[in-house]
Amino acid sequence: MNRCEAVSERMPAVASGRGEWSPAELEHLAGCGDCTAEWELVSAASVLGRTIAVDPRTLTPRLLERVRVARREDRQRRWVARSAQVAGLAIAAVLLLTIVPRRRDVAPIPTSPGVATTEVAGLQLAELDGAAPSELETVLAEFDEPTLPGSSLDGPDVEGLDMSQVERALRSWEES
Amino acid sequence: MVAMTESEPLSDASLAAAWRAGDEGAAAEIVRRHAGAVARFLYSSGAGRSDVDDLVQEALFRAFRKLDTWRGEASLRSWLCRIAGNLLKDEYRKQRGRQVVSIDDDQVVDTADPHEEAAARESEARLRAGLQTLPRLQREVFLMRAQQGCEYREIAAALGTTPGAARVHYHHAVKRLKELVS
Repeated sequence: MNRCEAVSERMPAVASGRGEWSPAELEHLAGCGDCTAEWELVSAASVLGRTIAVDPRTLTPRLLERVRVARREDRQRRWVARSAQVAGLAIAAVLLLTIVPRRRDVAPIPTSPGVATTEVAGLQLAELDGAAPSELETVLAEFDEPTLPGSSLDGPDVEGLDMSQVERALRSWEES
Repeated sequence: MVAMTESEPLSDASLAAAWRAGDEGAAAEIVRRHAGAVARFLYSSGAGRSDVDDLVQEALFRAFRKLDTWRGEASLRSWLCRIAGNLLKDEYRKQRGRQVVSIDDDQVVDTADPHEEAAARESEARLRAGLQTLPRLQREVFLMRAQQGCEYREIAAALGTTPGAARVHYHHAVKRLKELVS
Protein backbone atom coordinates (compact mmCIF):
# COMPACT_ATOMS: atom_id res chain seq x y z
CA MET A 1 0.00 0.00 0.00
CA ASN A 2 1.54 3.32 -1.05
CA ARG A 3 1.24 6.58 0.87
CA CYS A 4 -1.82 7.83 -1.08
CA GLU A 5 -3.68 4.56 -0.51
CA ALA A 6 -2.85 4.60 3.18
CA VAL A 7 -4.14 8.18 3.55
CA SER A 8 -7.25 7.33 1.51
CA GLU A 9 -7.98 4.38 3.81
CA ARG A 10 -7.95 6.67 6.84
CA MET A 11 -10.16 9.42 5.42
CA PRO A 12 -13.61 8.13 6.55
CA ALA A 13 -12.39 7.60 10.11
CA VAL A 14 -10.85 11.09 10.32
CA ALA A 15 -13.88 12.69 8.65
CA SER A 16 -16.27 11.08 11.13
CA GLY A 17 -14.11 12.15 14.08
CA ARG A 18 -13.04 8.62 14.97
CA GLY A 19 -9.40 9.47 14.29
CA GLU A 20 -6.94 12.31 13.61
CA TRP A 21 -4.31 12.93 10.97
CA SER A 22 -0.77 12.24 12.01
CA PRO A 23 1.86 14.91 11.20
CA ALA A 24 3.22 12.66 8.41
CA GLU A 25 -0.25 12.28 6.89
CA LEU A 26 -0.85 16.02 7.10
CA GLU A 27 2.44 16.62 5.36
CA HIS A 28 1.45 14.20 2.59
CA LEU A 29 -1.96 15.83 2.21
CA ALA A 30 -0.36 19.23 1.88
CA GLY A 31 1.82 18.05 -0.98
CA CYS A 32 -0.51 15.68 -2.85
CA GLY A 33 -3.21 17.27 -5.01
CA ASP A 34 -5.07 13.98 -5.60
CA CYS A 35 -5.30 13.16 -1.92
CA THR A 36 -6.33 16.75 -1.08
CA ALA A 37 -9.16 16.60 -3.64
CA GLU A 38 -10.31 13.23 -2.29
CA TRP A 39 -10.16 14.50 1.27
CA GLU A 40 -12.32 17.52 0.35
CA LEU A 41 -14.90 15.14 -1.17
CA VAL A 42 -14.91 12.77 1.77
CA SER A 43 -15.12 15.51 4.36
CA ALA A 44 -17.94 17.20 2.41
CA ALA A 45 -19.80 13.87 2.08
CA SER A 46 -19.42 13.15 5.78
CA VAL A 47 -21.42 16.26 6.66
CA LEU A 48 -23.82 16.11 3.73
CA GLY A 49 -27.39 16.27 5.00
CA ARG A 50 -26.36 16.97 8.58
CA THR A 51 -29.17 19.48 8.82
CA ILE A 52 -31.77 16.80 8.11
CA ALA A 53 -33.51 16.16 11.39
CA VAL A 54 -35.41 13.00 12.26
CA ASP A 55 -37.06 12.85 15.66
CA PRO A 56 -37.01 9.27 16.98
CA ARG A 57 -39.58 10.17 19.65
CA THR A 58 -42.25 10.79 17.01
CA LEU A 59 -40.94 8.31 14.46
CA THR A 60 -40.75 5.24 16.72
CA PRO A 61 -44.43 5.06 17.85
CA ARG A 62 -45.66 5.52 14.24
CA LEU A 63 -43.24 2.90 13.03
CA LEU A 64 -44.11 0.35 15.70
CA GLU A 65 -47.82 0.84 15.12
CA ARG A 66 -47.33 0.15 11.40
CA VAL A 67 -45.35 -3.00 12.20
CA ARG A 68 -48.06 -4.19 14.62
CA VAL A 69 -50.79 -3.65 12.02
CA ALA A 70 -48.73 -5.41 9.34
CA ARG A 71 -48.11 -8.39 11.62
CA ARG A 72 -51.83 -8.61 12.42
CA GLU A 73 -52.62 -8.57 8.71
CA ASP A 74 -49.98 -11.24 8.09
CA ARG A 75 -51.56 -13.46 10.73
CA GLN A 76 -55.01 -12.96 9.18
CA ARG A 77 -53.70 -13.72 5.70
CA ARG A 78 -52.00 -16.87 6.96
CA TRP A 79 -55.20 -17.94 8.75
CA VAL A 80 -57.29 -17.41 5.60
CA ALA A 81 -54.77 -19.32 3.49
CA ARG A 82 -54.68 -22.20 5.96
CA SER A 83 -58.49 -22.29 6.19
CA ALA A 84 -58.73 -22.38 2.42
CA GLN A 85 -56.31 -25.31 2.34
CA VAL A 86 -58.28 -27.23 4.96
CA ALA A 87 -61.58 -26.52 3.17
CA GLY A 88 -60.08 -27.67 -0.12
CA LEU A 89 -58.87 -30.91 1.42
CA ALA A 90 -62.28 -31.50 3.03
CA ILE A 91 -64.10 -30.98 -0.28
CA ALA A 92 -61.66 -33.33 -2.01
CA ALA A 93 -62.23 -35.98 0.64
CA VAL A 94 -66.03 -35.71 0.36
CA LEU A 95 -65.87 -35.97 -3.42
CA LEU A 96 -63.60 -38.99 -3.14
CA LEU A 97 -65.96 -40.74 -0.72
CA THR A 98 -69.11 -40.07 -2.79
CA ILE A 99 -67.93 -40.42 -6.38
CA VAL A 100 -65.54 -43.38 -6.23
CA PRO A 101 -68.04 -45.97 -4.82
CA ARG A 102 -70.59 -44.98 -7.52
CA ARG A 103 -68.03 -45.48 -10.23
CA ARG A 104 -67.35 -49.00 -8.87
CA ASP A 105 -71.10 -49.84 -9.11
CA VAL A 106 -71.33 -48.70 -12.69
CA ALA A 107 -68.28 -50.20 -14.28
CA PRO A 108 -65.71 -52.38 -12.55
CA ILE A 109 -62.15 -51.80 -13.58
CA PRO A 110 -60.94 -54.31 -16.24
CA THR A 111 -58.22 -56.69 -15.03
CA SER A 112 -56.25 -56.61 -18.25
CA PRO A 113 -56.11 -54.02 -20.98
CA GLY A 114 -58.67 -54.46 -23.73
CA VAL A 115 -60.52 -57.36 -22.09
CA ALA A 116 -63.74 -56.85 -20.17
CA THR A 117 -63.88 -59.24 -17.21
CA THR A 118 -67.66 -59.44 -17.24
CA GLU A 119 -67.72 -60.54 -20.90
CA VAL A 120 -65.15 -63.32 -20.37
CA ALA A 121 -66.87 -64.55 -17.24
CA GLY A 122 -70.27 -64.42 -18.96
CA LEU A 123 -69.13 -66.44 -22.01
CA GLN A 124 -67.42 -69.16 -20.02
CA LEU A 125 -69.95 -69.60 -17.28
CA ALA A 126 -73.25 -69.12 -19.10
CA GLU A 127 -73.69 -72.82 -19.93
CA LEU A 128 -72.85 -73.81 -16.36
CA ASP A 129 -75.61 -71.66 -14.88
CA GLY A 130 -78.03 -74.58 -14.76
CA ALA A 131 -75.51 -77.25 -13.72
CA ALA A 132 -76.00 -79.20 -10.52
CA PRO A 133 -73.37 -78.92 -7.75
CA SER A 134 -72.05 -82.41 -8.50
CA GLU A 135 -71.59 -81.47 -12.17
CA LEU A 136 -69.74 -78.34 -11.21
CA GLU A 137 -67.49 -80.39 -8.91
CA THR A 138 -66.64 -82.66 -11.87
CA VAL A 139 -65.80 -79.69 -14.07
CA LEU A 140 -63.57 -78.19 -11.40
CA ALA A 141 -61.81 -81.52 -10.87
CA GLU A 142 -61.04 -81.68 -14.59
CA PHE A 143 -59.53 -78.19 -14.42
CA ASP A 144 -57.35 -79.15 -11.48
CA GLU A 145 -56.15 -82.54 -12.86
CA PRO A 146 -52.97 -82.55 -14.86
CA THR A 147 -53.13 -83.72 -18.44
CA LEU A 148 -52.24 -87.33 -19.26
CA PRO A 149 -49.58 -88.77 -17.00
CA GLY A 150 -46.12 -88.47 -18.50
CA SER A 151 -47.37 -86.31 -21.31
CA SER A 152 -45.58 -83.08 -21.62
CA LEU A 153 -44.44 -80.84 -24.38
CA ASP A 154 -40.96 -82.25 -23.95
CA GLY A 155 -42.17 -85.82 -24.75
CA PRO A 156 -42.21 -89.04 -22.67
CA ASP A 157 -39.97 -89.53 -19.72
CA VAL A 158 -37.01 -91.63 -20.93
CA GLU A 159 -35.03 -91.54 -17.75
CA GLY A 160 -36.02 -95.07 -16.58
CA LEU A 161 -35.61 -96.86 -19.95
CA ASP A 162 -32.68 -99.09 -20.92
CA MET A 163 -30.96 -98.71 -24.29
CA SER A 164 -33.07 -101.39 -26.11
CA GLN A 165 -36.31 -99.75 -24.89
CA VAL A 166 -35.08 -96.35 -26.02
CA GLU A 167 -34.21 -97.71 -29.48
CA ARG A 168 -37.66 -99.30 -29.76
CA ALA A 169 -39.33 -96.06 -28.81
CA LEU A 170 -37.29 -94.15 -31.38
CA ARG A 171 -38.13 -96.67 -34.11
CA SER A 172 -41.84 -96.46 -33.30
CA TRP A 173 -41.71 -92.60 -33.56
CA GLU A 174 -39.88 -92.85 -36.89
CA GLU A 175 -42.47 -95.32 -38.23
CA SER A 176 -45.35 -93.20 -37.14
CA MET B 1 -37.17 -4.20 28.07
CA VAL B 2 -33.63 -3.63 26.82
CA ALA B 3 -31.16 -3.16 29.61
CA MET B 4 -28.42 -0.71 28.70
CA THR B 5 -25.73 0.86 30.77
CA GLU B 6 -23.70 3.97 30.07
CA SER B 7 -20.44 2.02 29.91
CA GLU B 8 -21.61 -0.94 27.87
CA PRO B 9 -24.24 -0.23 25.27
CA LEU B 10 -25.86 -3.26 23.66
CA SER B 11 -24.59 -4.23 20.24
CA ASP B 12 -26.86 -3.95 17.21
CA ALA B 13 -26.94 -7.74 17.06
CA SER B 14 -28.22 -7.93 20.64
CA LEU B 15 -30.84 -5.27 19.92
CA ALA B 16 -31.99 -7.16 16.83
CA ALA B 17 -32.24 -10.38 18.85
CA ALA B 18 -34.25 -8.57 21.53
CA TRP B 19 -36.59 -7.16 18.88
CA ARG B 20 -37.10 -10.63 17.41
CA ALA B 21 -38.02 -11.79 20.90
CA GLY B 22 -40.72 -9.10 21.02
CA ASP B 23 -38.93 -6.27 22.82
CA GLU B 24 -40.20 -2.97 21.40
CA GLY B 25 -37.67 -1.05 23.48
CA ALA B 26 -34.96 -2.59 21.32
CA ALA B 27 -36.69 -1.22 18.23
CA ALA B 28 -36.76 2.24 19.75
CA GLU B 29 -33.01 2.06 20.41
CA ILE B 30 -32.31 0.91 16.83
CA VAL B 31 -34.32 3.88 15.54
CA ARG B 32 -32.48 6.25 17.85
CA ARG B 33 -29.09 4.98 16.68
CA HIS B 34 -29.65 4.74 12.96
CA ALA B 35 -32.60 6.85 11.78
CA GLY B 36 -30.45 9.97 11.36
CA ALA B 37 -27.84 8.12 9.31
CA VAL B 38 -30.52 6.61 7.08
CA ALA B 39 -32.02 10.09 6.61
CA ARG B 40 -28.66 11.56 5.55
CA PHE B 41 -28.03 8.63 3.23
CA LEU B 42 -31.44 9.11 1.57
CA TYR B 43 -30.98 12.86 1.24
CA SER B 44 -27.48 12.45 -0.20
CA SER B 45 -28.79 9.81 -2.61
CA GLY B 46 -31.26 12.30 -4.05
CA ALA B 47 -34.40 12.25 -1.89
CA GLY B 48 -36.08 15.61 -1.44
CA ARG B 49 -35.79 17.20 1.97
CA SER B 50 -39.57 17.10 2.44
CA ASP B 51 -39.73 13.40 1.53
CA VAL B 52 -36.96 12.22 3.81
CA ASP B 53 -39.16 11.76 6.89
CA ASP B 54 -41.60 9.45 5.14
CA LEU B 55 -38.83 7.58 3.36
CA VAL B 56 -36.95 6.96 6.61
CA GLN B 57 -40.12 5.61 8.17
CA GLU B 58 -40.75 3.35 5.18
CA ALA B 59 -37.14 2.12 5.08
CA LEU B 60 -37.18 1.29 8.79
CA PHE B 61 -40.60 -0.32 8.46
CA ARG B 62 -39.22 -2.60 5.74
CA ALA B 63 -36.16 -3.29 7.83
CA PHE B 64 -38.13 -4.28 10.95
CA ARG B 65 -40.37 -6.52 8.87
CA LYS B 66 -37.38 -8.53 7.70
CA LEU B 67 -34.91 -8.10 10.51
CA ASP B 68 -34.87 -11.91 10.77
CA THR B 69 -32.92 -11.99 7.51
CA TRP B 70 -30.12 -9.76 8.82
CA ARG B 71 -27.36 -12.17 9.77
CA GLY B 72 -24.80 -9.68 10.95
CA GLU B 73 -22.36 -10.16 8.05
CA ALA B 74 -22.97 -6.54 7.08
CA SER B 75 -23.23 -3.94 9.83
CA LEU B 76 -26.80 -3.00 10.68
CA ARG B 77 -26.20 0.53 9.40
CA SER B 78 -24.92 -0.56 5.99
CA TRP B 79 -27.79 -3.07 5.77
CA LEU B 80 -30.27 -0.27 6.53
CA CYS B 81 -28.61 1.95 3.91
CA ARG B 82 -29.01 -0.84 1.38
CA ILE B 83 -32.74 -1.05 2.17
CA ALA B 84 -33.00 2.73 1.90
CA GLY B 85 -31.25 2.63 -1.47
CA ASN B 86 -33.67 -0.04 -2.73
CA LEU B 87 -36.58 2.01 -1.46
CA LEU B 88 -35.38 5.08 -3.30
CA LYS B 89 -35.03 3.02 -6.48
CA ASP B 90 -38.61 1.73 -6.04
CA GLU B 91 -39.86 5.27 -5.51
CA TYR B 92 -38.07 6.43 -8.61
CA ARG B 93 -39.67 3.64 -10.66
CA LYS B 94 -43.12 4.43 -9.25
CA GLN B 95 -42.77 8.09 -10.10
CA ARG B 96 -41.02 7.58 -13.42
CA GLY B 97 -41.16 10.78 -15.37
CA ARG B 98 -41.67 12.89 -12.31
CA GLN B 99 -39.00 14.71 -10.39
CA VAL B 100 -37.95 12.62 -7.43
CA VAL B 101 -34.52 14.01 -6.92
CA SER B 102 -34.90 17.52 -5.65
CA ILE B 103 -31.39 18.82 -5.50
CA ASP B 104 -32.58 22.41 -5.36
CA ASP B 105 -33.89 22.13 -1.81
CA ASP B 106 -32.72 25.00 0.31
CA GLN B 107 -29.81 24.08 2.45
CA VAL B 108 -29.91 25.24 6.01
CA VAL B 109 -26.27 25.75 6.78
CA ASP B 110 -25.79 27.29 10.16
CA THR B 111 -22.79 29.57 9.83
CA ALA B 112 -22.29 33.10 11.02
CA ASP B 113 -20.59 34.34 7.87
CA PRO B 114 -23.02 34.79 4.93
CA HIS B 115 -20.23 34.28 2.39
CA GLU B 116 -19.12 31.11 4.10
CA GLU B 117 -22.73 30.00 4.26
CA ALA B 118 -23.23 30.61 0.56
CA ALA B 119 -20.01 28.77 -0.27
CA ALA B 120 -20.96 25.80 1.90
CA ARG B 121 -24.42 25.70 0.32
CA GLU B 122 -22.97 25.78 -3.15
CA SER B 123 -20.42 23.10 -2.32
CA GLU B 124 -23.10 20.83 -0.87
CA ALA B 125 -25.39 21.36 -3.85
CA ARG B 126 -22.54 20.53 -6.25
CA LEU B 127 -21.72 17.35 -4.37
CA ARG B 128 -25.37 16.25 -4.34
CA ALA B 129 -25.67 17.00 -8.02
CA GLY B 130 -22.45 15.08 -8.69
CA LEU B 131 -23.70 12.10 -6.70
CA GLN B 132 -26.86 11.94 -8.83
CA THR B 133 -24.78 11.42 -11.94
CA LEU B 134 -23.01 8.36 -10.54
CA PRO B 135 -24.18 4.83 -11.23
CA ARG B 136 -26.21 3.58 -8.28
CA LEU B 137 -23.63 1.12 -7.00
CA GLN B 138 -20.81 3.68 -7.12
CA ARG B 139 -22.97 6.24 -5.31
CA GLU B 140 -24.01 3.80 -2.58
CA VAL B 141 -20.48 2.51 -2.03
CA PHE B 142 -19.12 6.07 -1.88
CA LEU B 143 -21.76 7.20 0.61
CA MET B 144 -21.45 4.11 2.80
CA ARG B 145 -17.70 4.65 2.91
CA ALA B 146 -17.30 8.43 3.02
CA GLN B 147 -20.48 9.38 4.85
CA GLN B 148 -21.25 6.37 7.04
CA GLY B 149 -17.63 5.34 7.63
CA CYS B 150 -18.24 1.68 6.76
CA GLU B 151 -15.40 -0.73 5.97
CA TYR B 152 -15.22 -2.27 2.49
CA ARG B 153 -15.99 -5.69 4.03
CA GLU B 154 -19.27 -4.40 5.51
CA ILE B 155 -20.19 -2.55 2.31
CA ALA B 156 -19.51 -5.66 0.25
CA ALA B 157 -21.71 -7.78 2.54
CA ALA B 158 -24.54 -5.23 2.39
CA LEU B 159 -24.41 -4.81 -1.37
CA GLY B 160 -23.77 -8.44 -2.22
CA THR B 161 -20.36 -7.89 -3.78
CA THR B 162 -16.71 -8.44 -2.83
CA PRO B 163 -14.55 -6.04 -0.80
CA GLY B 164 -12.26 -5.69 -3.81
CA ALA B 165 -15.15 -4.75 -6.09
CA ALA B 166 -16.44 -2.28 -3.47
CA ARG B 167 -13.00 -0.66 -3.38
CA VAL B 168 -13.00 -0.34 -7.16
CA HIS B 169 -16.48 1.24 -7.13
CA TYR B 170 -15.34 3.70 -4.48
CA HIS B 171 -12.29 4.78 -6.47
CA HIS B 172 -14.33 5.16 -9.67
CA ALA B 173 -16.81 7.31 -7.72
CA VAL B 174 -14.04 9.48 -6.27
CA LYS B 175 -12.44 9.95 -9.68
CA ARG B 176 -15.76 10.93 -11.23
CA LEU B 177 -16.73 13.26 -8.40
CA LYS B 178 -13.35 15.01 -8.52
CA GLU B 179 -14.05 15.88 -12.15
CA LEU B 180 -17.63 16.96 -11.48
CA VAL B 181 -17.31 18.81 -8.22
CA SER B 182 -13.87 20.39 -8.25
